[in-house]
Amino acid sequence: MEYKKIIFFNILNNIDEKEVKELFQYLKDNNIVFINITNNVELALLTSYLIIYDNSKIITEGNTLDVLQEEKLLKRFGLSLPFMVELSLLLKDYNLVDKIYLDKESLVDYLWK
Amino acid sequence: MEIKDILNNYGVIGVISNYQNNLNKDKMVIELNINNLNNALKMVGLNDTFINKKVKDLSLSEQTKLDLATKLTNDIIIIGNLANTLNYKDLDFIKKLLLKLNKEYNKKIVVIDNKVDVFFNLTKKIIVLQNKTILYETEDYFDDNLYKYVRMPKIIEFIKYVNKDNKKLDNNIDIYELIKDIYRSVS
Repeated sequence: MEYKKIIFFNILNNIDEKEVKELFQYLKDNNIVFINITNNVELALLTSYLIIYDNSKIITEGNTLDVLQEEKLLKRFGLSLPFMVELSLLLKDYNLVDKIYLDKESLVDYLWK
Repeated sequence: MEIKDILNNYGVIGVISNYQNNLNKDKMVIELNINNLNNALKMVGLNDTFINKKVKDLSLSEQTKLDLATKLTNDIIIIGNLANTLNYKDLDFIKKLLLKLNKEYNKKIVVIDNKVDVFFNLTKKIIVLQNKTILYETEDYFDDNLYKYVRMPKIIEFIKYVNKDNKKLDNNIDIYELIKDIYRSVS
């Protein structure tokens, strides 16, 4: 199977989130490998593999959700977490949830079941 | 009402609009005629190693800080595009600096951005500006009309979603207060 590759560099930040999701789904459906270079952490949730780099050096990389749970490492380099990841991690500290929820609907259903 | 009238009543205002700095990219930092250059660079989180660098060779975050350094002696400081150029640590630092410039040096501050979160803990007064016309203004981050013009921050989206079912979370922009609120609500 042949993969095409596209690289985005900070061009998706001001595009409507719904349209970005549709774009990424289209790329996945058509086996197009895309690399999105961004400082928008929310867009990281739409990818399957995450590389964090700082001053041209790779700090960490791996499965997106695994990388995003390296909270202390990311914050040391001035990176914030996507809102749902940060919220889930804080709720875990309060023993209100036991995993990361990526969508508000599932989280709300669980908390106020 | 014009922005200068609004500035009479507010020390810091947030403006939803596009912003581009006017730095001359081909000049070296030392050629930008910044007053008290070394101190200005230090104040914005840069240092004297930047003096002989060309603006175009600086990163986006360094250019944003430099942009601010060129304006420190202005009575009205207009700065923008912080969300797209600064990481959260740098953003926090610059916001504290802007508040200090307002409170201790009586500067009026205008922050221009396309992300409402940038204005959290900086100002409550938000203006939507397009083609030099004020389209909307508010002092309430939870004002639905504001989000006809700009994307709603995730924390506000979450609280509004929860409150649709009368679960009664307070209107918080601080995630730690939100957590306490959720804890109280579900316990």
